[in-house]
Amino acid sequence: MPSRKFVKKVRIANPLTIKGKLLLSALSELLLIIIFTLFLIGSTRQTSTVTSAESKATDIVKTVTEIRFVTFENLLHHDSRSYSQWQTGHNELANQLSSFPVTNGSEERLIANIRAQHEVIGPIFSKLVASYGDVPTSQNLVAHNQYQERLASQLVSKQQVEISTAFKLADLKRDEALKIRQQTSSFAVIVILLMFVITGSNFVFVYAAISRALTALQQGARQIAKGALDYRIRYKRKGDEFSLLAATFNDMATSLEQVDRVKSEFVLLVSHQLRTPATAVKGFLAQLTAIYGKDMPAEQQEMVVSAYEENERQIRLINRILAVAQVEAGEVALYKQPTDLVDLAKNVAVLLRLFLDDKQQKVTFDYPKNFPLVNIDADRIRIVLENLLRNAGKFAPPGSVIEVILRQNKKHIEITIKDYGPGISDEDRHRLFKKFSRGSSEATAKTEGSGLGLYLAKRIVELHQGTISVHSVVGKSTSFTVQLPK
Amino acid sequence: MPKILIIEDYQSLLKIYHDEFERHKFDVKLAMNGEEGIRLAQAEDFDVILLDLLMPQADGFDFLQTYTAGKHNQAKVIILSNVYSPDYVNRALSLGASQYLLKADITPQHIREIVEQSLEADKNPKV
Repeated sequence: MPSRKFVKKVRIANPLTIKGKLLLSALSELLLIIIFTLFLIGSTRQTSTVTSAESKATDIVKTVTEIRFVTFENLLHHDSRSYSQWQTGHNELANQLSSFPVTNGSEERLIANIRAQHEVIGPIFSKLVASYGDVPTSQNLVAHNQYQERLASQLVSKQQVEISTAFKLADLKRDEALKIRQQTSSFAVIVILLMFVITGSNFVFVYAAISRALTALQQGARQIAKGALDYRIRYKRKGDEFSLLAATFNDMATSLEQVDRVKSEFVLLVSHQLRTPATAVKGFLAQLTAIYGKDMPAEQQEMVVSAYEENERQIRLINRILAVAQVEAGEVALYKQPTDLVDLAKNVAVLLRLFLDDKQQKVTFDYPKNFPLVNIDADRIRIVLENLLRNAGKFAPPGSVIEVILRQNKKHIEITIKDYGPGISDEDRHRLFKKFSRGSSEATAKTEGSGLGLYLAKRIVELHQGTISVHSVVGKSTSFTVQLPK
Repeated sequence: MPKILIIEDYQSLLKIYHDEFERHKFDVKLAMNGEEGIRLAQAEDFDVILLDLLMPQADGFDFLQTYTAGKHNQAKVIILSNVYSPDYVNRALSLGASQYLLKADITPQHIREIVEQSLEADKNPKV
């Protein structure tokens, strides 16, 4: 089992559960709403008290003003109607003064002042009205007039004081009401702002926690998807729901790792079990040829050779199936080292010599001088080249040439294997690299193949971050090109 | 006469290898598992040991560990396995094996040639 690169774990560490955070947030909001409601009830009550006091003060101003008006009328006309109106007003003022809700010292002083004027004004006005009935003699006419004037002037001046005091009271009450309204609205603004701040910070707090956890989980999932099954997410034991999720995630990764291990051990074991009897057959056939080969009639010799070829084919097929199983199990760790690709390709051609000699096919190599070493897993790329060369040999006509062309540019090296066989139709080309896919042509039907070679080649090239492509002219030639990063 | 110990649990293969080496004048001893192999290898000196890896009762790795730590540890150990995994190769070589051969890839004659070559190389060490 190749050891995988350990990737740094991401920490999920939240002291509170998400549910807890949301609950905390909801509770703080609720608390604020309760405080705000209590405040609103209190301030409404206070506002209505002050407003009613304000209107009472305004009533006093109105009454005092009316009294003054009827007083002037009476002073002019000395009539009984204005007097009775005055009396009504006077009594009403007395009621208003006694029912006024006094809340502080300065109000009390103002009310006392108005009351003092009011108490003095009554007797003065009574005296004045009583004096209207007196018929002055010529001796006391002046004195009588002076007496009336003095009373009237006292009356006016007292009323003046009364009015200005009443206005002062009304102003005081108006200011007070205004102040309370201002207080209420600024408190409301503060509470609303506070709610925004709390809601906002709760949101940021919860969002940050969720986002951090999701990022960690996403990163973990990405690593697992890439095949780094030893990746684990770090989390606090007594954490939130995400910690639970992380724990479950880690358990899942552990299970996957176990499955993976069992799978790769299975691949190794099966490879052993399948290859061993085939190896024994190979050994017996080799011994048979070595010991009795010379004495056998030609027909028997041919049979042994055929059996040997079938055995070779069987071993090749087993190797290929196992290689595919390994690739699919994610079991392939590349052992890359700088490799002489020209040398490798020539080696493969030498190994396939017998196979190619069968049809008198020749392999030619075309590569620039000083072709660089390439960082690859030589064992795996050997499989790719062998598959491609074997393929070319299978389809190319007897006596033809198979070209191996190596090229390089700044970023890549390219190796192309070109044969002058029947070519590949567009339809076949699309499914060429799929597992168990074989061409539909007559040429394909005549050749032996598992439909795994090109699939395996593609997977191996892709493991090297390379690409494999095919270019073909039907009836003329086929070129497979492997491009590998430098 | 070079002395060879072949440790292999698959009987047919054991027979094939035995016949091949005996025909070519080797003194051949056989073992069917790692444990038996260890017993034989610790009793006398061999020139070469052919060692299978996956075996019941002490596998090839167990054998290598015990063998290299023991007194008689001069033989060249050549791994003959049907498992090819870079991990196995590295482990076997680091435990003192001199070569790692994939059984399915080579004939008994080829194995014998490799053994003979390696014995030749020992006789005439390169300067």
